[in-house]
Formats: sequence, C-alpha cells, structure tokens
Amino acid sequence: MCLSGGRPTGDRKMSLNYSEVEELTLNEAPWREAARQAETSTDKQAPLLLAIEEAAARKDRSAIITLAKQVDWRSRRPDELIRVIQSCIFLDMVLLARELADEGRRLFPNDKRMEQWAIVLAPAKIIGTRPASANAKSLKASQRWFKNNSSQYKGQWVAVRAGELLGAASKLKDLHEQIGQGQRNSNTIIVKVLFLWQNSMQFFSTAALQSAQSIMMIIIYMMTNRTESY
Amino acid sequence: MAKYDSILFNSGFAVGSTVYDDHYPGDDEQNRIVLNVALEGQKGTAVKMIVDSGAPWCILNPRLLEEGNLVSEVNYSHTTKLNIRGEIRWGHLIRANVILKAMNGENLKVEATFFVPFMESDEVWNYPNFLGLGGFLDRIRYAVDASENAFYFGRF
Repeated sequence: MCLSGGRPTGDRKMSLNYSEVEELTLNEAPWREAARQAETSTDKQAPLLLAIEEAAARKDRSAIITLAKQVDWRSRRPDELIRVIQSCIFLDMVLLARELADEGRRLFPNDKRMEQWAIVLAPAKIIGTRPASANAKSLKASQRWFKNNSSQYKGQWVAVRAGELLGAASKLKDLHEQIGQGQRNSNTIIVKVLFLWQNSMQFFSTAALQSAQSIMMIIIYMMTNRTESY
Repeated sequence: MAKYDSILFNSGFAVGSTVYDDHYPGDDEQNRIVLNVALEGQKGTAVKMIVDSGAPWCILNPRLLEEGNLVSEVNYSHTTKLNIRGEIRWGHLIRANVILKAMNGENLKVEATFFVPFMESDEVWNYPNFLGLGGFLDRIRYAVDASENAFYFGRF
C-alpha cells in the first residue's frame, strides 16, 4: 500500500451517480450467483446475504440491521462480511459497521483486512490533555485576519500566524516550501480557502443580469433618440 | 477567558475552551462552528474544521494527508465509498490523532476516524474539513455558548 500519496496504487477515484452505484452494487455482489443457486445447495445463509445486498441497493437500513443479525458470520468468508461493512459505511450506518467489524476481528483474527476495518471503525479515543500550547491572542488575531481577508485568497492555501499572512499558494506543497519549516508552529494556521462555485455563479449571474439591464437601457435610449430625430 | 470556563472546568465537564469562527474561510454564506484543530505529525500547525453533529463521518482534505505523516499502514482501511453532499466519492477511512486547540484550559488529543477521498493529482478538493458525529463527536463532551462564540470541550 502506498501511503505517501494518500491512496493505494491501482485505486481510482470514481464519481458516479446513484443509479450507477446501485447497479454497481448489485452487479459486484460476489455471492449473487451463489445465492441464486442457494435453493439447491446446502448454503442456507446465501439468500440472507443476497437480501442484505438488495436492501443496501434500496437503502433500506432497517432491513439491513435485521438481516445482518440473522447471518451466522462464523460460516461466512471475511470478504462477505467486509462487503456488508462497506454497504453500512456508504449508508452512514456507523454503529452497525462498527459492530460487524468488531465481530469480524473476533471471528477472523488472522485476517489483516478485518483488523484494519475494526481499527478504523472503533469509537474515537481520548489520548490525553495538555496545557494549551497556542497563544490565545495569536489565535484571535488570526481569526480576525481570516474574517477580513480570506475572500481575497479564494481557492488558495494560506498560512497565517498571529494575524499575519505568512504565505499563499495554489498548492499545499508550494505553500510549505514558501513558508519553510521554521514558520510552522502551534500558532500557525494553514487553510484551504474555499472557492465556492455556487457563489461564483451567483456573482456571474448578477453580473450578467446587470449587463443585460445596461444593454436594454442603451437600446431603449437609442430607440428613443431615433424616434425623436424623426 | 470564556464566561463559563470556571464552572465547566471545575465540574469536570470540560478541560478547555476556545472561540470559534462563524464561517469557514471562503464561505461567507453559511453560519458554521469552525474550530482550530491540529493534526499530529504536522508540527502543531492547525487547520480549520467544521463541527457538524449531523455528519456521520469526519472528512479531511486529502492534500493534508499527502503532506503529513498522519497515519501508519495499519490505520488505513481498504477502499470504500461515501456519499458526500449527494456526490459518491471513493476513499479510505483512516485513524489519526487530532488535537482540539484550547485558548483557555487544556488541549484535548483524540484518536479519531476520518474519511479521506481519493484525488487525481490535478484535482482540486473544494470542501471544508468536518468533525462529524461518528468517530469523533460521539466520544467527547462539548458545549456551545453562541453569545460569545465559545466552544467548550472535554472527555468522559
């Protein structure tokens, strides 16, 4: 797994719409074929897994909860459990995902993937407390800076300390190079200032409307003058 | 000092307090509760994160993950997908240490879960960072005093 790049090699970002994902969810089901043959086999759990899959496609959360509790996970494979966990994550069912991951770690102690899911889905843990290292005055000054100036840096990464801009760049890496290691301490705030498309669209819409009004005024003025000249 | 520091600190409800921003930088339209949060492995520098008890997950700008030594391999999940504001995004769930920065009292260090979306190298992530309920807010105490933008936080 490649960690430095923030994503494993071979993975890809996908941007899909709901219907595509639902189709993907159904088509990808590893046990779908097995479930179809379940009536003639001795695997009586397979239809339950298919039912979970279909409930996930319908976003029927209560059905998933009921069905997941009926499955005897001891008789299933880790990848089948992981698939249900992933469906729970997608449907924002945090507690069930956490419960299943814990069960998976207990049932499959040698499976590294199950261990990873259990770790990342565990409840947040308080590590400890420590006297505040940042200067309150410095933080408040920086808050004022953001309030008054951030609109000038839309879409950029900015570094601010004690109410003063240390640097701005379109890429975080460039900003780090710009400000250097010495400038990065507990009073430094680094933020990507949002560039919101809808705000921009509103601006452009307003500008376009104003332009259209101006053109209309000019046309009316010209027509009026032309009428008068006749 | 925030108005209720002594009461909340002495009662054990909170260990620290801070003043939150009303808006995330670049988004003046929406009122938010925006905190300064440090990510471990980034020399104590803070980033801004929106407190969102309606969000099931915490979400982190992927560029922050690329630039810092935030997590070890075991703290990575395999690929999963999430619905973010109606858009399906693929990414990892990661486990990382974050520090709620106090202006008064003590900082609170929490091991929390974040969703980090996959990005193409030239892609721009134009969303804020979020502190959601699952994996973070459901395991701390917090209180908000909107009269002076005070955010109190503690452990239980």
